Amino acid sequence: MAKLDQAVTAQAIAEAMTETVHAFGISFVRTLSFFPSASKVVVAEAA
Amino acid sequence: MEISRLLLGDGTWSQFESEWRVQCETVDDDFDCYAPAPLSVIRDFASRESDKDWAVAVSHGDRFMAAACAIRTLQKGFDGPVLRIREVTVCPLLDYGNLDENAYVDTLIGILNGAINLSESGLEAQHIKLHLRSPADAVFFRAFGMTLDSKRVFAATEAHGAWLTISKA
Repeated sequence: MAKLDQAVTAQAIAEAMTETVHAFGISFVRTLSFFPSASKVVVAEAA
Repeated sequence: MEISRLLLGDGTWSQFESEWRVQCETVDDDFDCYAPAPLSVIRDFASRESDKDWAVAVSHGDRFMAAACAIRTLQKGFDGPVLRIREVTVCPLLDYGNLDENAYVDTLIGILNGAINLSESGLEAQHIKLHLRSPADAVFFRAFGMTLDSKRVFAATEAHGAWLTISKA
């Protein structure tokens, strides 16, 4: 399996993620499922 | 940030759990009630001495920023092994908003770069799949995937259904 140039891929991921977070905003990021409180908000709103 | 394996047998899970217990105390939460569903799965993975099912954590210095399950498998429709990342869970300090905005971006970058690093060393795979558990995940990572794909460092990056797939070649 050919090895990646990890410096190049890390830079691309960092740039793409930074651009995406800036486009959506931190408030949206906090609604991702990676954040346990995001599901608590959904449950609270449903209740 | 670095990604590393968590194992019950070598004390790394204990180190992780202790650190998140302290973080929970800082934000007035209880570790035993913090993200119980994903953390129970991650802990189960940490109990396995498997060479393909790992519990992993992304750390910055002494602080564990996120944890997840990493599964190396073969999957129909994919040429070569696939590394699946599931049950991604961020740390209490980040979840409660006790860290600055850069920490959000850095942690998301750390999770993805960590997955790429695992696929190069430890859980070698040709494809990396990140499980998207919610509609918000799907919207966000579809946009991220398109942006990353435009940079042309991977053969393909695509969000489809409940997965973001990065193919290396």
